Amino acid sequence: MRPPVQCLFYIALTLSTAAVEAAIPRDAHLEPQVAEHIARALSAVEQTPESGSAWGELGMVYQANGLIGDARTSYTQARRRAPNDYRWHLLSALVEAKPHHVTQRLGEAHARAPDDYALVILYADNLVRTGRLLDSRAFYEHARKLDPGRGYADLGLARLDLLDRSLDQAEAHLQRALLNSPRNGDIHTLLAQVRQRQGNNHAAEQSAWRARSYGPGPRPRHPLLERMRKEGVSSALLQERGRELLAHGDFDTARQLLIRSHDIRPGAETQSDLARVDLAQGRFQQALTRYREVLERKPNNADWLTGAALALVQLGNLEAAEGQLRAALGQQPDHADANEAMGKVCLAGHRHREAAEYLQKTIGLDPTRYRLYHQLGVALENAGDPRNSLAARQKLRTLDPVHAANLRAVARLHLHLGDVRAAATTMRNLMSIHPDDVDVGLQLVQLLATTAEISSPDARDALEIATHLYARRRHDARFADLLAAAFAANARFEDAIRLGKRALTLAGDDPELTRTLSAHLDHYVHREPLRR
Amino acid sequence: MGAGVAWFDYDNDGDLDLYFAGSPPRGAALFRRNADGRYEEITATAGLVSQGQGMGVALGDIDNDGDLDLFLTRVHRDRLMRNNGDGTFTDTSLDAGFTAAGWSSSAAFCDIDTDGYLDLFVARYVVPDTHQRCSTEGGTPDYCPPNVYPSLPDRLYQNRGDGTFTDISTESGIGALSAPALGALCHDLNQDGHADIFVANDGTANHLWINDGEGGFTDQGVRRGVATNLFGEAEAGMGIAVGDVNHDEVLDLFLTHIDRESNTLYVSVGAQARAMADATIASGLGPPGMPFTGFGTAFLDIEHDGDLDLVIANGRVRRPARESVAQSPLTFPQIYGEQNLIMENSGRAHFTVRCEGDDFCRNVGISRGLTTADFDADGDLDLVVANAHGAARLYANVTRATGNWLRVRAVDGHRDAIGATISMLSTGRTQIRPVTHSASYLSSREAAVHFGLGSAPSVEAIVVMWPGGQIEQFEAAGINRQVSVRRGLGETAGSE
Repeated sequence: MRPPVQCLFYIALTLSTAAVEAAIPRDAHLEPQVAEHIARALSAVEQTPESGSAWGELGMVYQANGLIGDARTSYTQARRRAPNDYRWHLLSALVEAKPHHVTQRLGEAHARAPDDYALVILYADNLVRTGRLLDSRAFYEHARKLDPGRGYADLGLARLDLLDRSLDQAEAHLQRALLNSPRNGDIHTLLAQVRQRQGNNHAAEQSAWRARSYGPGPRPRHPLLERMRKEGVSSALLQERGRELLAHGDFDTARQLLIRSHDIRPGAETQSDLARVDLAQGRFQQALTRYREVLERKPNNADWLTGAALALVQLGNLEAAEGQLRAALGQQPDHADANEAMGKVCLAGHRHREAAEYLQKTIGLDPTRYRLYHQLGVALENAGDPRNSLAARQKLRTLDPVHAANLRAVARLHLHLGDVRAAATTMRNLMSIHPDDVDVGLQLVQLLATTAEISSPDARDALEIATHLYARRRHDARFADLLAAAFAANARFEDAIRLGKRALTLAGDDPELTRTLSAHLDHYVHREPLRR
Repeated sequence: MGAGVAWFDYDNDGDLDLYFAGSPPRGAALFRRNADGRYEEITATAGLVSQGQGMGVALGDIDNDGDLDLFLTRVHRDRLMRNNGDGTFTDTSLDAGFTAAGWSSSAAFCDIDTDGYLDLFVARYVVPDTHQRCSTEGGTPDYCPPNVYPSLPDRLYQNRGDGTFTDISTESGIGALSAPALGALCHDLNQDGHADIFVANDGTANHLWINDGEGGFTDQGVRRGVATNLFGEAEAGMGIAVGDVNHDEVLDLFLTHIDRESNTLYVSVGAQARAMADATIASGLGPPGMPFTGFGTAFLDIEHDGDLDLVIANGRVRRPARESVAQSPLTFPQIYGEQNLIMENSGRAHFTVRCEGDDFCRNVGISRGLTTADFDADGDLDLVVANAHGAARLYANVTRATGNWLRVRAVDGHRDAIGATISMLSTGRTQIRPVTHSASYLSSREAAVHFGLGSAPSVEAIVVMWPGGQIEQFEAAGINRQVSVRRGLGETAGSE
């Protein structure tokens, strides 16, 4: 529907005089709210034609709504009126058509805001793309000084080193970048290339695998560009931004934008996006209703069938969910979401072997879902396949070394497979990550004290950790017993007997615990350490 | 998306005929080159009339009978058209085992298991959804990018040698990854004697499937540096050109991309192409291509100066950003049409635009498929471009040659030695060319390779690395002519 004529404006911007004329557009092909938004920004320019900011804001509205020529003109006016405001130089750069003009504008912006980290990075990246490698190195170095805690400058320097074939230097920069962002797939991608060129095929493949699993890393984005994007008010842009926010977990704002988009241009796509928001925010029945509505229009859409299934899972109707997922997979056997959901439904239904197959397939289809190795480990372990369960968990451990539940499971599986030393190493690793987790400490000391050679380094470690834990839980019989076991493991049987007796005292009226502790005490009296 | 084109001698009469994969309303078409130099359409006579949306065309002699068969990729179901040797083709798709539905793009024949029969790789795109709506920033309806659709895993078919094929996508590892694939190249890129597969993906990381020689492929695109550009960005890969642009005797790759991305040149680094590096910046190929959406592309020595130049067929897939609210609505060709590009190699792998006064650049169209051949047998390579929503264009090379030339055909048994790499040694320089039909975007080229000799007055030797890795040297037999080298004979057979 065309907007009312009185709401439409076509303003010719005359560069020479900067006069502003209002006219009726011929056929602007703009959604009404876009035309109105432009009209408001134009009105501000009409009121303060000498204001650089007003022209700049108008340029942002044009740019965000895809009117690049008008944006370029507006920014030119803004730069003339406010030549020291870096913003209009920066935004001008993004609407220039020729690469050397882009570089020129970015250089002007940088000269006015030399310590703006995101701008420095943007400029340095642009210089690389246009072949000014030496200049770009200086700017990456400057960016690193501005914010040493972010890895992007090191990543940029590593790229330059790679171009120079300075592999060792590139690797050093990448290792430094990894300290700041260990799960940035871009860093691992370059590292894989460095190692490949060094002839280290195994390490190259490991890095490439990490790169695929982690996915692309975040790029520094200038806040001004984010601000400009918010001026985009077409239904398509609102939907796009809504989806981005949904992906980043900002559900409330995503919902607002998607509702606005849907109000302007109702459609099944935005309806299904809103269903995803409902799903994410726990409104499962509403999500299901929306999915059912869109599925009436397109009953074979695998995305929507999967969404409906996810809502049904949350509502406890696993049987119906499975039906929807089978339909989705019938349409698209390689639908990652449907495979993942099916894996989880099978897991919930204790069909562990089947669950493992779906989960394995999901990771293959989308390596960035590497956290599913945890569920895969559960499924394989419950399916009676501890070796492959351990292999899955070891992969997750490589990608996510601080995943506590996974580390516990790795230790447990090592024990199950009879590798006590590997179990102890894993538990030590877990304790170093979670030093205040007394349960971890408890398990580790139990393991060490009951398996280590008497007075061995492992036994001494057990005593040290047990003493540390007992100091925190002096009134808990289990910890006193633990310290007793650690003393015994170090052949300090008098101390073991003393702590064993204290444990008995602390056990109170618990007959089972008392029985266990008495049995332990008998060992110490007979000068024997506990054994698994 | 447009469609591809192939230049090949379908009736073995010694001249090059033209096949356009076509799309509605025109449809596919085969043109025979007659003795008077004119092309005559013979689609129906040849049995190649088809309904529906055609995409690509792959050439290969699947039964080693000396004539070229066609594999036609399509939006719904692919077709294998067997050349009967009498000027007609028979559709043997179902009998041969090609039953899979889905949208295929490029395809490439090569012998992955070195059993002497050509196997087939088929790149596949997305699951189309006609209900999906997309718009420009201002809300104008536009074509959707591929990432809004689910993508399909590619397929690999093993030739059983009896005219039928087995789908080995899963056991080979190829089927493990899904991506919207458009360009495909099958050649031994790491020089270990086994055919590898490079796939240009649209908006996701490219795949480089390295053949382990035992039936397995692993994607080494990331570690070998061709999955993304230098910035780690997955680009909109369309067409592929392959050739040695920097004279290091290892093949390099060039990929065309969408506007606002640069086209990308990957050059080999390290022994036996251990890795590749994004050399776009140093090559000068970045900025000139950025305003355009590149599709078909090829390396060729346009003026016979001894280095590989580059041609790129362009045509938008998304609306350009509007200049102004005042801008009048544009027509379809105005929105999507673009000029093509010729990039001239300085000889040191640095390229500059060489478009002045050239019809190839001047004609604005929605160009897609492109391929090269010496169709008029005058010693230089010519071009043909398939345009979407417009007539195809044939460009005769009228550039004044600055050097001599040599055309070499490597023959293994009754057919071209697809997968071989030919080295031509002339004064102070070695040039290499891959023997492959798969090229460019959705297109195929003749298997004979063309060398410009520059200032060299003669050729010292021709060395062929055959599929499987065996190397054979042949004595040169003159210049400015076509020669054939036959496996096992170790000698050249000249022809006028």
